[in-house]
Amino acid sequence: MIGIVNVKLMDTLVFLAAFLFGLRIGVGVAVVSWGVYGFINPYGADDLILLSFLVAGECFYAITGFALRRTSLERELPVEKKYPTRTAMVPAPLRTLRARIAIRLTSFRGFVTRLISYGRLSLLFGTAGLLSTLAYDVLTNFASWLFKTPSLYSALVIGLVTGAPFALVHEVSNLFFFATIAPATIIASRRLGHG
Amino acid sequence: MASFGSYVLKSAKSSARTRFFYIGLIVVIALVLAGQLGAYIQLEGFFRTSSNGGYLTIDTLINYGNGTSRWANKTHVPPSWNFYDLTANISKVEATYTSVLNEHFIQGIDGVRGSGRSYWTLWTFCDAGRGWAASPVGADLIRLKNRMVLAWYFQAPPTSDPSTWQPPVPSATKLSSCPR
Repeated sequence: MIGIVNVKLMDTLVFLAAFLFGLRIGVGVAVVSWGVYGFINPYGADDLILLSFLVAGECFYAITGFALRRTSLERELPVEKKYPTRTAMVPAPLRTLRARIAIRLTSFRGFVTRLISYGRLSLLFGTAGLLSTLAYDVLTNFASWLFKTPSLYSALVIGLVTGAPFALVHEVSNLFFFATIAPATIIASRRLGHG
Repeated sequence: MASFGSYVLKSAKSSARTRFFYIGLIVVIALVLAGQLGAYIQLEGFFRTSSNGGYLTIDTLINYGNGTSRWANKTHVPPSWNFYDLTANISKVEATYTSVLNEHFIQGIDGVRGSGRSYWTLWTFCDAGRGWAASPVGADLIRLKNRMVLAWYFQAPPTSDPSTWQPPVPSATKLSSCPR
């Protein structure tokens, strides 16, 4: 994904590593990822100071993943499949109109329940990803101007404004990745008994 | 039907507890993205109003008066340049310099030379009035500003009074001068 500037799956992977395997693994993935990405990069290698900020920023995703794991969200994950089936939910005679309506309503009810459940989960993970990305962007944009401006405040303001287009792309893409890939991977790995 | 009704009620009650939480999440997402978008628009506005890396961006129209026109759009020029410098840069200019007036008298542009009653007229586009106004000064005295739009029009006006001249773009609005 190097061709699409600031759209990267790496953040979601760090988050997933921390959520599924703990903070130490998450931070390890963050450090190793930037260790590679910071030096072997077609856009050029980062200097050590900026790299240290990038690694620190990447750790925000690991912290978020670890923190989210310790909330009640972990217990509310729809790990077990509880899809209502028509035969199980409708004991009434199937030939009556009322029974047919009941079948439809039961199916619809199950669909809506699943939709709301997954939607809320996506919203939670998406927001977590967005806030982590915001923190990452604020830190790294600030670091980019740290030694080029007369004051820390100037570095922050200039970094935020000049980095805004990249931050916007980064945040929107991470909102999408965290809302889709993260919950799907976590539920799938839980169902497979991992993490 | 009764079970569906009770389901809806139950759902409504349970969702009411968490509704504010999820609405809060949506508000947070909207605020973050709106903030970034605001910063982005701010940055765009900065680049739109300022010169390009210390250079000015100028659009120039040259109407040869024979049905042929040429736009030289978004030409980046140093702030120290005047419009004569720009014209000489984007076209082949034949001019005579008068040191007393510190002015170049344009005789020809790209081989189209003044003859008889035909000569080159100089125009500036006024943002305020959305129309063209004949320049009251020569090209050397036009101080360029970023995003300025200027034009040369070769024509044979009936008099030397600019009010009788035709604007460089057919059927465009003509102004006596740029409104302040």
